[in-house]
Amino acid sequence: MGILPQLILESLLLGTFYAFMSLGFSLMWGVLNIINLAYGTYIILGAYTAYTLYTGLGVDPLLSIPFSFLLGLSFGVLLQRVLIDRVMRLEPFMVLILTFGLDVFLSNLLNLIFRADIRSIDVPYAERSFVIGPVIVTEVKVLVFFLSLLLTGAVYVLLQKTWTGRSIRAVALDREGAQIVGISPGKVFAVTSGLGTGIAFSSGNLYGVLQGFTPFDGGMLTVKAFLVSIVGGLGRVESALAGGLFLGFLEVFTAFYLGEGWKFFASLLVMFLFLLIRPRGLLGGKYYGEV
Amino acid sequence: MRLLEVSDLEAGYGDVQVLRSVSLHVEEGEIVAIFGSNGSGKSTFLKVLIGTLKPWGGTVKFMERHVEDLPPEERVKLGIALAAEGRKLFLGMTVEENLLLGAWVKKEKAKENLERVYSYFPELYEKRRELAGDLSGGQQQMLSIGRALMSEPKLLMIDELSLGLAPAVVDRLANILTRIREEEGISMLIVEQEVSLALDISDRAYVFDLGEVVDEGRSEDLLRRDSIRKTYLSVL
Repeated sequence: MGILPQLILESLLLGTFYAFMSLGFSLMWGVLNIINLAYGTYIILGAYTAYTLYTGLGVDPLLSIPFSFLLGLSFGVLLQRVLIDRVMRLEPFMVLILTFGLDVFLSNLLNLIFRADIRSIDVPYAERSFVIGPVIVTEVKVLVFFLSLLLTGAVYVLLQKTWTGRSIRAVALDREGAQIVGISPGKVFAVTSGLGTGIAFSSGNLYGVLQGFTPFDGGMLTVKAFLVSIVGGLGRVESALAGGLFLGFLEVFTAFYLGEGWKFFASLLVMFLFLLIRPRGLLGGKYYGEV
Repeated sequence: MRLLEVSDLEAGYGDVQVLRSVSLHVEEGEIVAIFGSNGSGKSTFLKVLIGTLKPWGGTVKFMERHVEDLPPEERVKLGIALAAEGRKLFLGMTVEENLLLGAWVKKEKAKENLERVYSYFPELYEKRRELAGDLSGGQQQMLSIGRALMSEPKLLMIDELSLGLAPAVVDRLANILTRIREEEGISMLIVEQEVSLALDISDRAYVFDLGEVVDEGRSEDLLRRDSIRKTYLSVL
């Protein structure tokens, strides 16, 4: 026993956050069929939004989540309509280059405004923690866990139970079938991009209270979202949850047993293995009918 | 009244022309069949009518209104629905979700229409929680037609009604379609390979060959015509 319960708990808490954080990436990939290389920087944009609201107006970063979401939503819809749609239609591969350029642009813009210093959102409850039997856990991590779970659940309900959600899944499954019943794929693309970007921004609030950040941390987060999508499989909320938990366990356990430096290497190795052996991911398959 | 009037329609893919000057009409309450050999442009024709393929030239009028430049969602709103070739179902979603999506342009009446479709196809009600991908071919065809009915169309277009289905299933489908026409007065445009079936359920029919209309007339007349009997019904 000893340290094991602590590690498992840490993995669960972190993994659930990773699941929510990656949901937007997986959604955009699954529905729009694009890999958004700027995704991690969207998360960082959310973190800076929360930071600015906290230091400027004293708004708690967990309370400003709806604001970040709406900001991301508008940004995502606009971006899709003005830029990505056109490129998608001409040459899907170019979307990779477009989002790569967008990533460089956005992170440098953040650097101009906030400079490269590590920022953190030091909420008053940051230092508090609980002791439950053999484990110790900080209040912040528990809050982030419950919010991630709640928001992931909300996205699940949106996708499963609402007209908007059904139209998103319909376009993902069969674009022509969706057109035939009168759904406009263009509108669904905009909504999906908005939802995905909104998720990224709001997960930035959570990321910002978990740890310090700089304008250039987005790339690493994109890789994590990528890994979660590969390992879990695409397109379903359950897949993101499976992938997120997998990454949580992997990071916590390699960091503890092999050292912090091995964490990223292990993640990339596992992603590589999944691509090689089980490219559909742990749960992948059914959601995307044509697979 | 003329529900659908197509004049001199031309269409194709890339450089390849598929439809050549096709003219066709459907009256209100009529069942019209299209038959012809593989590659004669029947499915392409329905794609142009629903709007997933842009025509090169010609006009499509629905209820006296030009629709050839409208996107599919506008046409569905006006009352055109398609049970497509390959069925284009959402295989990873449940039967009921597929039907609900058919009501996308008539959300407020989705519940009501769900009951209506279930009354025509009771097996869809029994399988409502199963994935569309797990249905048999006949049930998928019912789902495809049911989904199209969910938007309360004035014109129901069905591509390849009998393809891959057992004769008993085809008979049932034909009966249900006749019943729907009697009860609701919905017009239908049905693409069908099997000529005897096509002529049996329709009032009028068009014969397509290499993208052109080569023959047309009342179904009962076509059934008696020698050229039709020799070419399509293999009666010597």
